[in-house]
This record gives sequence, structure tokens and C-alpha cells, in this order.
Amino acid sequence: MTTARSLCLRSLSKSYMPGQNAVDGIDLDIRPGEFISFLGPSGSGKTTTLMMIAGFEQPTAGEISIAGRQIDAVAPYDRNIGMVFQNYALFPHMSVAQNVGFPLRMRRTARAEADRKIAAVLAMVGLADFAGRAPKALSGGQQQRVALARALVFEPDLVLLDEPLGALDKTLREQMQVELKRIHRELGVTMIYVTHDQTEAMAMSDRIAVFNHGHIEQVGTPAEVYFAPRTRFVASFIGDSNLFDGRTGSDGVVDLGPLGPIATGRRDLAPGQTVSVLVRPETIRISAQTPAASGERRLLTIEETVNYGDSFLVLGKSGGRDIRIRVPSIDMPDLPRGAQCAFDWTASRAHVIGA
Amino acid sequence: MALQLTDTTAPATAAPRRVPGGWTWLVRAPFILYAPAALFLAVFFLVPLGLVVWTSISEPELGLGNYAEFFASTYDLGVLARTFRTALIVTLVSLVFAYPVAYVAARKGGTIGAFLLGVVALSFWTSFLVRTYAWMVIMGARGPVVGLLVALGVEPAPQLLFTTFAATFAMAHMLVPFMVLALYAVMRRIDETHMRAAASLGARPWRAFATVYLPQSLPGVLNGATLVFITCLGFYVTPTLIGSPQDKMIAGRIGQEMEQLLEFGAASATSMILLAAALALFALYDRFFGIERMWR
Repeated sequence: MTTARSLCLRSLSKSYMPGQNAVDGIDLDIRPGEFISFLGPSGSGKTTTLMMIAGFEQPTAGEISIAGRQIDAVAPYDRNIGMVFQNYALFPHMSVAQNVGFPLRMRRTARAEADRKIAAVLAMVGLADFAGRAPKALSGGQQQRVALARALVFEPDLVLLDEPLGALDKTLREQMQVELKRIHRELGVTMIYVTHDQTEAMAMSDRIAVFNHGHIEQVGTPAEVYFAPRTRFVASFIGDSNLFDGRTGSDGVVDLGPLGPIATGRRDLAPGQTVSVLVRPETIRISAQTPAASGERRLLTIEETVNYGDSFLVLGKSGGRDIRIRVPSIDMPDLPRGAQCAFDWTASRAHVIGA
Repeated sequence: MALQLTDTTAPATAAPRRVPGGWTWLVRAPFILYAPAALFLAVFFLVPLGLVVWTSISEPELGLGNYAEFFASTYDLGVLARTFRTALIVTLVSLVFAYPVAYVAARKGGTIGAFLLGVVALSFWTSFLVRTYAWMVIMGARGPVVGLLVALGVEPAPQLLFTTFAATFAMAHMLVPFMVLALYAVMRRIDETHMRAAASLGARPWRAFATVYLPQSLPGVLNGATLVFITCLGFYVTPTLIGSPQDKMIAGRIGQEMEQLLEFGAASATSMILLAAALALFALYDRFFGIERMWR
């Protein structure tokens, strides 16, 4: 149905005030048919980048090209990019079918063909019976589907989604995530998804571009950015984390001070460097046995336990450092506040940052 | 038709609630709250209106003679037709001037918009009479407009003051603020991302405007047009002072009947016809669009 296109950003910059770049020299290659998320806190430049791709903001410097064709000088209405806005931006004076048919009307598509396409896309988003309704008569999730259908119906080269699920409640959001992935699979169209919600980005993306202060800190698969973040920012922004400062020794061992040495297996590290070591909370195991009996050298003093239903978050201190541990509920021992217990981590899952 | 003059917000059917401090009588009898206003309207509006109705059917003799005379007189019917035509032209002219102003003013974050709105408000707060005299000076035989035309070599200098053109133009100027505010109120609520959405879907700026913005602004156009048209129907000062004496509007005709011809019965009948025309328009508007929407 659609032909997947690549998108290429070269040294893309946007400056609103001299000396301050909202987007600062971004280089990114997006593959045809890829689902990529722009993830970052607000003000990190992800939305500005999206607006430049859509053509609503002019880059101060750099190039944007779709499938090798530079589009910087092309007006938004000629870019053939579908966009789903955060507040849906459905036209209230038009019915669902008229909204979805709008891009076809602008392209002077023949009536019969347009009707066929509208029916097909509405069926795809599960709104076949709602063609005659006014947007206001639909629920938030349904309006979101209409906006999506409208952005897909004209077979765009690229689909941009600007925090499209932000206004929906949690259950509906998860439902729409699955739906969106299915539609992406069916159409194979290149999609760029802007979000500040890291679980959403993790759940949906082929790759994630992590934005911070106008830069891309890292581009990678969800597993890469989660288990092998390149910077402390990526490590702390995505998922829950323990970041320990340490000093490299020989044979990939990092000395974490009061927490003792950890064998990271990174034999390429030169000794004597200051590094950060990321240990994800769910890779730490807790033992309810008394410290003396277990023989473990790492001891934790429990400060707080938080029950999430499927798991517990254990907050404690060891050697003066804050430690966060994620324990599956079925493995959770009875640990009152102030209790001491032993803990251990899978050293091979620890990740060294900033060597 | 839902032209209601009575209070609809009072919980007339709701069971009396217990209000602390012995104020339950207020909840039981909400009419006490609007009694002063109702009394005022009765004394200063309904009674005089009744007197006008009575005069129209009793002077010089009892009967509908004054009304019959009005509808038999080609002159009076001509005045009525001219009044409607002028009101229509004024409405269209003020719409043409007001729409772009309101459009710019309604866009968020613009200093130009705030400035324009300030100018409109200033004009809104200046009395009709003052503005009418200003137009008399501007359009007068020795005024700047005629002076400019003469300097440009237009010979002989055209008569501007005391023409229907001058009156129409000045009335449009008086009523532009009403139109701007009516349009602004509606345009302010139009989501700005709609134009972006239209662009991303392939609409060039003018098509986006015509297909997305304009239809959403139509309620404002309708409100403004109704407001301006009805206000214009009863315009007295401006057409009398600036307009052509031959091209009288209906309010001017009433004045003439009162002051020069001393035909109070005829004047009253003409007033009632004007009132009926305005009410008919309101009824039409209400029938199709709902009167309460006008003030939201």
C-alpha cells in the first residue's frame, strides 16, 4: 500500500535566540519502514525537530531529506507527511469521514477512489461504523484513531506522531500502543513518534533516539539504550537505575569504594579511570538470610519498601550509598524497615559508562 | 422561538434547600432578586412602549389608519426599503473591514493583535455623536479628503458630506467594533493547530483558510451581522447629520414626523413597524441559531 521511505537529518540546528540552540547539530538516519521514537524531557528539542521535519519550523542550519530528496525548501503542504497532533486537531465542522477524506479532497482524488480509501482506513482503525459521526461525539481514544486514519489515508512518505497518546488514560494508552504497532506492521510506513514517556518508547520502538539539551545522546534499540546506555543521562532517564561512581582497575574490575569491586568483564578499560557503573534494580538479588549466615559481604539497610503489585521496590543504603532493588512479588521476603539483609548483583549485567 | 424575558436560571422547580442564617425565603422566592430590575423595566420600558402603541392607534383617531397610511405610501415604503438596503450594505462593509482585524487580533501572542484590539476598543468607547462630528469635519467641503482630491486634480471637487455614501461609510465605521468583537469572540476559540493540521494534510494556505478556518468562524460572522444589521436599522444620528436629506432612513423619518410634521400617531406607527422588523429578524435568527448563542 505505502512505500516506506528513509529520512535523513544532517547537522540540523534550530536557534530561536542567538547563541542558544534549541536543536544543536542533529545527525540521524532513519531507515525505511522504521518505527523510531524521539524520547526526551520537555525542552530537549524533540518536538522542535519534529516540527522542522513537518515543515512548520525552518532549520537555522542543516539539511532534511526524504529518500535522498532534500525537502528543506518544500512547503509543509507539499511534503506528503502525515501528522498526528497531541490534541488530535480534528476539524469540528466536519464528520469523521470528511475529516479522513480531507487530505484526499486536497489532492483532488476521484470520489469513488476516495470513498474506498476512507472506508478501508476507517476499517483498519476500527471505526467503520462511525463515518457519519461528528468528532465531538467520539471518545478521546476514538478521536485519536480518526486523527491517525486521517494521517494515513493519503499514503504519506512519513508519519509523525507528536505525543499522540498523552491525553489518554493508562489502560487506553496501552491498548492504543498495541494498535499502533499493529497498524505500523500492516502498512510498513516509516513512523516517528515523539514522547517523553520512556515505557511507551521502549514498548513500541524499533529504535529510540534519546534527546537532551538539543542533542541526541544515543540512538539504539530499546535493549541497547536500556542495558548499554552511552551516557549517565540516558541511563537515568530510561528506566530505574543505580549509578555508582568507581575507578577502573585491571582486567575490567571496577572498584566501587565502599561497595567493593565489581568484575564488569570490560577488559578494554584502561586502569585508573573514573567511570560510572549502571546496575539496573532488577538485576540485584536480595537474600532474606541473616547477613552472618549468608557470608555475603554486601549488606543493605532497608529504608523503605514500595509495593507495585507485580513487584516491590526496595530502597536502602549500603556503605553510605543509596541502592534501589526491584524484587518480583513472589520472591519478596518479609523485610521491615531498618532490617539488614544481604544482596548480590549479576556483574555481567552491570554496564560501564564514561570510560 | 425562545425569546424569554423572565429569569430561567432560578431553580423554580427545585425543592427549597436549607440555607443557613434564615435566608431560605430567598431560595423559595427568587423573584425578589429580579424584582427591582423588573420594576425598572416596567416603568421605564413597558409603560412608554404601551404609550407608543396606544398613540399609534389613537391619533388622530382610533383605528389602524396610521399603519394603513404607511403601507399605502410609496414614500414610506421606500424609506423602509432603503433602511434595509443601507443596513445590508453597512453590514457587508463592516464585515469586510472587521474580518481581517479580528483574524489578526485572535492569533495568539501577537503584539499587533493586542494593538488592533486596543484601537477597536477605543473606537468602541467613543460616543457615536463624537465620531459623527469627526466624520463631518473629515468629509466637509473644506476637509482633508476633499482637499486631497483637489490637490490630485479632481475637478470639480465631489460633494462628500450630506451624501448617502458618506452616511453609509460613517455608519460602517461606527459598527465595525461590534463586528470585530463578535468575530473575535468566536475566532479566539478556533484551535490554531487546525491550520497546521490542514497544511500537513496538503492544503495550501488559502484552501486551508477556506475549508477549515472560515467555516469555523461563521457563527461569529452571523452574530456580528445580526448585531450590526439590527443596530443599523434604528440608526438616527449619523444618517441625519451626515446623510443626504433625500435619502432618509426610517429613524430619520420618525424624527421628521415628530418634529416637523407633528404627526405623533404616524411617528408611533412607524416606530412600531421598525420594532416589528427588528423583532422579526431576531426571531429568524433565534429560529435557526438560538438567541442565547449570540451572547456567548
